[in-house]
Amino acid sequence: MTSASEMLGYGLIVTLVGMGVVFIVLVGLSYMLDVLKLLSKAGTAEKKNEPVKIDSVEEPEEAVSTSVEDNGELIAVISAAVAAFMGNNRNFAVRSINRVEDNTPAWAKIGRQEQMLNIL
Amino acid sequence: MSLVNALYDFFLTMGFSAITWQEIVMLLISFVLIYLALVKGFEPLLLLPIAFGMLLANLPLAGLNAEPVYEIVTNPVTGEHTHQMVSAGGLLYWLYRGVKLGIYPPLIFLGVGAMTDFGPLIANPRSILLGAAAQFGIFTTFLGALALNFIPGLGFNIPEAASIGIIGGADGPTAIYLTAKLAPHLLGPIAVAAYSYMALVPLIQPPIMKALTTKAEREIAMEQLRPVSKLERIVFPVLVTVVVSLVLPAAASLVGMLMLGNLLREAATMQSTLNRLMKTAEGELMNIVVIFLGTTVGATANGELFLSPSTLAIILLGLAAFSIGTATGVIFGKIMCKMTGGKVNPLIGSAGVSAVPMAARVSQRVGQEANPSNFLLMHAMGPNVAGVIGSAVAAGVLLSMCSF
Repeated sequence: MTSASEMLGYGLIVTLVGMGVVFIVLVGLSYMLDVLKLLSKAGTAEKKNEPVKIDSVEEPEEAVSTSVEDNGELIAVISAAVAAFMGNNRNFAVRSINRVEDNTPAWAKIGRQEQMLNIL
Repeated sequence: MSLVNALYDFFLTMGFSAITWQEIVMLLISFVLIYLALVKGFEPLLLLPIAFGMLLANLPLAGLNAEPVYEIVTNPVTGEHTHQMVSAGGLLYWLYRGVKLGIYPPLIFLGVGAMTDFGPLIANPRSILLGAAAQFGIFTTFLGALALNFIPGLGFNIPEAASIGIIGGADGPTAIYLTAKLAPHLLGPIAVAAYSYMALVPLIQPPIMKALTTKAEREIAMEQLRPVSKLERIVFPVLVTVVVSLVLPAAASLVGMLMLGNLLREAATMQSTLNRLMKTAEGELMNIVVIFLGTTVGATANGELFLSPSTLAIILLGLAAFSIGTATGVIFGKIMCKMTGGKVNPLIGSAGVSAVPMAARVSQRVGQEANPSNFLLMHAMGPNVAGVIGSAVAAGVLLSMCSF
């Protein structure tokens, strides 16, 4: 295999086989992950129902209403965040929003912020 | 012996007397690389050892790369031939065995696996496809390198072309692993090209990503990823190892070690004693290997081989590999966007060229430029880590089809 065109021909074969194998392996893996997801869901199906119920109950429990200002925008944003977090389960109501007391030292906050800025 | 003669003899033992112009140029290049690593922050973890290795290897008469010399001695009584070591060889020669025998890159992968969270990929299995699509860059460049054979005076044989193509995998250990096995004489330029371009990902990718997508596509916000169960996280590394190694035994050492590291990481939450192994894999062991790998890979950059037109061709082809990989990733992202009815932001496709986590950050940044409330980082990590598996698989194919 010395001439340039012969080598290019073999290169084309390698490319076809190579991309073929890459796709077959990775597509195969992606479907196996689907199966895995079903299996792990089947295993935890019973447990899964419980936290959903608790979630909708917990919400009002956690929040003791002391909010003074009537801040419509804030309520909308927090409700949206809760909805996104709960995924498909939209079975909840926001009764009150309460700021949790923050014990984090200022240094830790700055450190956290710096780390996040480094990542982004 | 007069004083003048003595001084002259001593001068002959100094490096100055023996230095060639190539070595001087290589020393200057190593200074530039040290500058880039330290001041510009180009992948300093690897580029600095590489640059210093380059410096060490181009100091004349130091003999750091010298091979050990053996002599055949015949025993006068029995007539038996035995090997006797005459000189032990240089430090870098022995450290380089880890590269030559393909030991360091899998050990680095062990650490990478221990640091990588495959959760985003498990949560969204289809994103693996984007990691596969970006490997087109490898093979297109491989063909490009072979096409250069039509230009007289410049040319690469098949193993060399395969090693150049793997730069497009944007994965340092994989590139070094493959090149050390297929075309060890090109290790210097290929490693320098691969790591420089990985550092330049934030400059190379955005123009390509913007050119191939519309503003509306870049603005697409993606749904929150589902939480991944413990079982999935534990089974994933085992599954990948078995599947990839059965399909492609040549990729087993890279993928196997990557997944061992990942299994240590995930299992450490179940058995806390495993934490120690995980810490070592991602910490000290990896750091030690990085020092050995970087220095010895840099030391292969011998002036006579490095300063040739082929190095320039490798640098250009490497850029092409990165660009094509980015482009095919984004194009596949667009296809997935169409097929899912606009649920996938095509920008995450560019993250398929490994270069973890830089490429995913680039997706995040370009996405946020278009839509400030857009958070693509975790979505881009899926194709990003899939790209690592994808380029290891591609390396396995090249290894088994291109070694003659």
